[in-house]
Amino acid sequence: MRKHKKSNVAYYFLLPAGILIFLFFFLPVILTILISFTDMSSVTGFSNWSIVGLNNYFKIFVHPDSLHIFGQTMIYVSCTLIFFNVGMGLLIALLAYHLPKRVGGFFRSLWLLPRITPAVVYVLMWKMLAADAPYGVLNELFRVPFGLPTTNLLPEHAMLFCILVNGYIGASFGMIIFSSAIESISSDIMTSSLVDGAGIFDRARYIIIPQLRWPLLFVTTYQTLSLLTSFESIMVLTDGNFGTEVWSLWSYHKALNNYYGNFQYGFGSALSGLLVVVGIVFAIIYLKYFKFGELVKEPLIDEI
Amino acid sequence: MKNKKQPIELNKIIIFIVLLILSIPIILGYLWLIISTFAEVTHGLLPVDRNGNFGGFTLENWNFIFEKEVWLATWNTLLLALFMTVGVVAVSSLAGYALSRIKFNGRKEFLSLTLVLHAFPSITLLIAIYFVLKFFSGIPVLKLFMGYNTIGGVVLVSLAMQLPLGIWLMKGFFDGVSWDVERAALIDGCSRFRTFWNIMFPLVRPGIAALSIFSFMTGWSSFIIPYTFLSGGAGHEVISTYLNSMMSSDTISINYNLLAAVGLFQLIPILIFYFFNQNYLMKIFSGGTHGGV
Amino acid sequence: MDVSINNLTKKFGNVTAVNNFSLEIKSGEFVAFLGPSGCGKTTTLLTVAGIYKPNSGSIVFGGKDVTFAQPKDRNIGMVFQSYALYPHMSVYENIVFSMKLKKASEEDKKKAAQEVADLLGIGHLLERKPGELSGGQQQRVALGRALVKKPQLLLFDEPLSNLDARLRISMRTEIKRIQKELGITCIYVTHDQIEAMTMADKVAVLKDGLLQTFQPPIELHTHPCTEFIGSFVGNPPMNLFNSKVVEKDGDIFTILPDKSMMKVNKIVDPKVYNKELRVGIRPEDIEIVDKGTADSSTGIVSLFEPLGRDNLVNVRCGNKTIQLLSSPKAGIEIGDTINFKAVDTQWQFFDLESGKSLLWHTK
Ligand SMILES: Nc1ncnc2c1ncn2[C@@H]1O[C@H](COP(=O)(O)OP(=O)(O)OP(=O)(O)O)[C@@H](O)[C@H]1O
Ligand SMILES: [Mg+2]
Repeated sequence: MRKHKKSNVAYYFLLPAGILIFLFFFLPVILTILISFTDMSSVTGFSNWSIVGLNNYFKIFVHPDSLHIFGQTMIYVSCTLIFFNVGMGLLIALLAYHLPKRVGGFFRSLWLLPRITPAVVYVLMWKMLAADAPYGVLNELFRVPFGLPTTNLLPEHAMLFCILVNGYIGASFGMIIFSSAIESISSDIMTSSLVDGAGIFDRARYIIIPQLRWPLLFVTTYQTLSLLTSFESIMVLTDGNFGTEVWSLWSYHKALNNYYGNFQYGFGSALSGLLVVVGIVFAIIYLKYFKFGELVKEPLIDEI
Repeated sequence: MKNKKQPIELNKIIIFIVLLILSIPIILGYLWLIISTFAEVTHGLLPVDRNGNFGGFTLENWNFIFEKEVWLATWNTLLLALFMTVGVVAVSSLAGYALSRIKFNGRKEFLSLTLVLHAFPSITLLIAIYFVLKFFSGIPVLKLFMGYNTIGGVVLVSLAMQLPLGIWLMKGFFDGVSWDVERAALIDGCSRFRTFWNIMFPLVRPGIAALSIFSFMTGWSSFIIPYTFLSGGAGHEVISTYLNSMMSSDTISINYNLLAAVGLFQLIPILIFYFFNQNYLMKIFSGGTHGGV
Repeated sequence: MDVSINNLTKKFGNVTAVNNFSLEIKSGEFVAFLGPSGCGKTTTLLTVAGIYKPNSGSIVFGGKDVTFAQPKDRNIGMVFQSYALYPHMSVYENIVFSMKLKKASEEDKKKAAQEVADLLGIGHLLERKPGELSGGQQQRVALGRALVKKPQLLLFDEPLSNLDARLRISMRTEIKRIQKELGITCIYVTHDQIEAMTMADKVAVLKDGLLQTFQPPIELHTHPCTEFIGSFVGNPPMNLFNSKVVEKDGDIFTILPDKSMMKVNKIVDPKVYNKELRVGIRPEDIEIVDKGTADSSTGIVSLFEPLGRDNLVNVRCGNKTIQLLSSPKAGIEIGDTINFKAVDTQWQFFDLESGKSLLWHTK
């Protein structure tokens, strides 16, 4: 019998995406790892570098800044995650659920604003919230009227502000996920539990939150990774000053952006190489949790 | 639960107040931005004149719109946002269609790859991408369109970073189109590409709208990619980097009310898009985004 | 155009949706595929259309092997259960879409569209979008879209199942009329046996991906070749019970569950006399008799259901229930004892194991 010739039309459809993914994901992952094995920097230039093996990784290990930057990263990630991305997201979703639809919707929209506001503009707002009197909003509203001494809050509480700035962006992700999860809980259960005499706190504690196990897990893993690797707002807010240099920003500073103009590509790549590895591990875990069976559903038209 | 018992109504008021208190930073930040735009100086949220007396309403902060530099940056931002949007929509719908609808070897692998990339923090790859763009810069002709320090290069990088989300989203929309419609088209005489273009593409318009709006907003707001891959200076700035350089300049004393005006200038199109397309955007945001955490 | 399907097999993973399916359809014939849900009707049809590629077997259109030809190269029309109109195009654009792909001139398109519109009575709908049409109108448009290509083969996949009962009946006649008028070869998938029986020249009955039979509808009813067809075709369904055929004084008889004997006026393979087999008789072939005779049987009415024209009567007969039809005038009530008798030419006998008719191969 004549064999059906497989059509390869799919590959034409995928070609542009394939090229871009190759150029800006695959290649960079490989390059990151490769460069991290070299001593390439603005001193060596692009031609005089040499391979140094795992040297850059040893350097990280013994670097005087490593430990406290690692510590700062952990504080930043865990606080933002716990108090905002998960905690605040859940709180807003729960609270907004109990308000009339339009009021709840208003708050959800309000909380999405930080996410859609251009990062630089958003950070500008926070800078002015924190600024010293007479300009700073917080100082003017909450300290001056009480005769308290005023100061620029940012340098003193830099890490707190980094957490706030990112937290107010991050909360909306959890908020949306949790809101739709709460709304999908059967309204029978919701109503009957109140009739049974549970207050709304008990209901949140014993009915709603147990049902949010998966969304909670999803938001936690997904946002841990995002927090670990993104540094945009911190860079605009403090540029890593006042004890807010986090790992990803450190890598960026070392390799692409610092005052001294000495760009250590090799060392910087090693720093992000570690993040890349963490990223890959997380992404694979994430893939496992996802309902993969659903997305490999076979097309209902054969190769044409 | 919607009964009119007294305690529940009281609960609602308490909840409302708690939410309002939690939202204070957002509300204050926006208030500051809007008030400052129209004031000579702002003390806290109070618009004042140069001598510190209440008042000082002015439009002079907006004088920046007569400066060429701003319009160059705006133009670049617009180019970035538009080309990125067109690119993301085109590339994502092609790939999304194939992944949703066509059987081919490696489909499963490509799908898992998209999913992995969706979760993968592409921002960690900036250093290596810098090298990729530098490499393009070494190629004649190409270097003008996609090298380091070109808008084209920034467009490509931003586009690529948006792809995992875009492909995923478009695949989802294509999944929702009836198989019979596509079968009918094939029987009517369409090739796969024809089906895509004449039948499927028009049928996923909501998806295209959502992705376009989202991409445009992302491109219009983007900071870290243009900041990293454009060297700055005239003609090599977008609004975000322009604003950032004003904000962090050490030499001239900073006029915060001017900053507010430029900020609002950048924010207005975003707010308009957001206002009219909230439902679309909520869906995309819950699909997970990168960047701003 | 003659269509021949040879040893077609189509698998989805480890599900065999169509199993070694062969069929010869003559030019101009109206063939119905009948079978319960999930038996592989749609899959077969889509394979004929070229949407699915078979795992093995071949499809030949008018002498030309089209097994792996693209759907667009097969010159077929198809009407779907979901109508599958292009929602973003007007009715007119829907109908002429295939012509547009062939770059037909505006005039040709107008003329062709007018022709089908007249044929189907949808001339006044041409400017509308599919969303603005009723189900029946959409189905007409879908039919028009299929017809405008002047296809050599027309495929229908349960086209009427989303319509209400009355419309279904009128569309039935209309489709049949158009098919005869244009003389197009048709394959019509349905799980509604009345549809299959009334419309088709020949009916292919499928079960679990296997072709059970391919016969004209009337034979399907009177000469079912398997027990499955006997029980699947006909409403109310055929009475079936295990029994024997015995010979007595040159006549043959079958034994009812209550041990009474009824005469059989059919040729049965003598080899199966006195052997356990499956006996079938349709409810409409049992008549009520006033007085018990030697070859009638007696039972108590256990259930009684008016069907409109007839009443369906369940009679307790030995340890089995026999269904029969009675006229409403007969005045039967639950608990009555009645005498009944089968039309002796209408008995069916099937092999216990294979389910094959024991009458069939003698014919
Ligand atoms: N794409 C598919 N993937 C896996 N199995 C399938 C697929 N399509 C059909 N099947 C299986 O093949 C068998 C035949 O399906 P098919 O759709 O042909 O049935 P059908 O006779 O048209 O039923 P219905 O009357 O319900 O439309 C079923 O068991 C079905 O579950
Ligand atoms: Mg079917």
